[in-house]
Amino acid sequence: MAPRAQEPLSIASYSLSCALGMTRDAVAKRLFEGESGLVPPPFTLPFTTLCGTLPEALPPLPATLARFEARQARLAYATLAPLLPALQERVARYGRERVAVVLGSSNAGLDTTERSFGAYAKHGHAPDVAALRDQHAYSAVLALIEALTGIAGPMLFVSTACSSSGKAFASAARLLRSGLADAALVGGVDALCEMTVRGFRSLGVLAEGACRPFCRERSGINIGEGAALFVLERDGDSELQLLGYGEGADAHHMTAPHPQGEGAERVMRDALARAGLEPSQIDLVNAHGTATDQGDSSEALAIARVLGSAPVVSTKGYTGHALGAAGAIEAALCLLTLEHGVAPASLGSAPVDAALPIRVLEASARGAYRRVLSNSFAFGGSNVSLVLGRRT
Amino acid sequence: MHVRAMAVWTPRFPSLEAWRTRTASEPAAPAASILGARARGRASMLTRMISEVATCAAEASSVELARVPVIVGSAYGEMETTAQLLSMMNESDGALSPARFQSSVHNAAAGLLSITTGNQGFSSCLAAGDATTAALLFEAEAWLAEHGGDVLVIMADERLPAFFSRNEAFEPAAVALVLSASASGALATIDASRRSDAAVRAHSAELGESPVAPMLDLIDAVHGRHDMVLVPAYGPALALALRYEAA
Repeated sequence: MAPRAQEPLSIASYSLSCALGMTRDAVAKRLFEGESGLVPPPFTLPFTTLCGTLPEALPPLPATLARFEARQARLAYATLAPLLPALQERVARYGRERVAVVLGSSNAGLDTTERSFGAYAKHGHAPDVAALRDQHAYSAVLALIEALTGIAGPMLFVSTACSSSGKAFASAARLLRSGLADAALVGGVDALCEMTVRGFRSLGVLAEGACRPFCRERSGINIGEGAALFVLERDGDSELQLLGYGEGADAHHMTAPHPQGEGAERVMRDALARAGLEPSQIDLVNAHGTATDQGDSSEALAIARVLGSAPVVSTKGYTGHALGAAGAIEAALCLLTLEHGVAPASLGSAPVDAALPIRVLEASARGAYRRVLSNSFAFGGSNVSLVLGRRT
Repeated sequence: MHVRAMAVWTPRFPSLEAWRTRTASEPAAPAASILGARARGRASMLTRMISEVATCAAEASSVELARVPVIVGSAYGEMETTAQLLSMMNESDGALSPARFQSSVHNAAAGLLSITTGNQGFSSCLAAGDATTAALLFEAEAWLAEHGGDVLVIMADERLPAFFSRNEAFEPAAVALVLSASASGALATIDASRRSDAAVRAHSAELGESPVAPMLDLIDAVHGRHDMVLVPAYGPALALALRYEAA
């Protein structure tokens, strides 16, 4: 049964950090100029690949919060800073317990754990329990945000691998609509880890060079990192809006998508139904598009069935695949398209695989973009699709 | 929302009844028979515990695992598998096992259950440290407010691998609840919208500092038909009042 159409939720403010830059303006400039953020990995590996590493160093945490030291925490801290005024205003307006935090991550503080485990393997010194709680665990970033903002509403991480932060929007939307919160800090945070780069290599889906989503010559993914955070509220009147979402599962395979993209099709149709939109009203599709052979093929089949010839872009060629943060980062890139009236080129897609029945944007395109649909698909067959929009 | 069914599994209290009566037995492994021999052999303790309590709660409530929405919580997730991967990274060529890697994600158990039962509907996996129980109840309440029906909520954490457990050790434990929008046949009613500043009851001592302890307190409260207040011990300062009204 398709969900009923729902009122849009207001996106009062947002910020992002990814391979393209540390601010919205810096990211937009490189995105719309078609400039990739992929670079050689910052650690030594016994194979060749590129990563979507942040282009600048992250500022350290304040001394009073040094116990949370981890790249994950620094990413959250740096990306949260531009939103602090908007959040403080919501805390004052609604009350501390009426503001929620719903974030997505796949790695949590694993980057720090990797380093301390390396030392442990050599010298036998394990970190103490504080490191587990304040650095490794998902909840470390929740405690950090609590300390920085005073928020005391429902706080949680969604962790469903690469669909995590897409699903964070759905979870936050439910909290707002059910009246359990009035505003929410929503988004995703994932710092680059060696384990995930090596893990995707072990699965045989890591690209040696830059990834080529939907390209005839695609050969796998690049791993990226970053964070994107949003202030979402029920009773706002912002220009930018969350219009709909759909969540579901393939129930097919732990790492391979359903070959015809049936699970992907279901979540896109659910997202459209919640948004109360016809397929023809979607101006642009931000595909999951990681540039694996099977993944791109199944997603293209699903997009073609649901949205026909709507233009499709994958931004993985700019940022790499930021795993648990990908859904949020790409939602922010969609908002940049809505605000600037430009769709980015699907970098690396040419020559597009003629077997894929979709219209991939090989060059950036100006237009009055009003509604964008964005997909994220994950291990375990976990799928999510978001629809983001701009008021007329 | 209303509690329709409950399930508990720990190595020494491997059923709801064993937990209720605190009848300890020799430590055992979860049967997790739903997974089948091959998948069970490869599955982590966490995944097997989650599968076990999911099956028991479904049987106790007649919800269909192929259709029910599922919300899984774990403070730390697949820690044993993560520690195995960390060890592999520090061996000769640092190559990882793809089977271990795909099983290291927080939603490994939820994904495997979805594949095993053919459930193509909603599932989500949450983490919020010692506040994970509170997070699960909020997510469930918000889900039921929109969709009605039932939701299967599972909270589980496995024993921490040696690397992580120098000053902290707890027994593995898993709890499942079938929560419902309907009061019909319910064991208790939970009001997740109330806050309280009341003092928190001491956790049941059987499991050490397990993040699952607040969920086991909830089980005890339902069995004892008393109210409780849930105050996460660290991290997000969230006081959640849970009322149990004899249904």
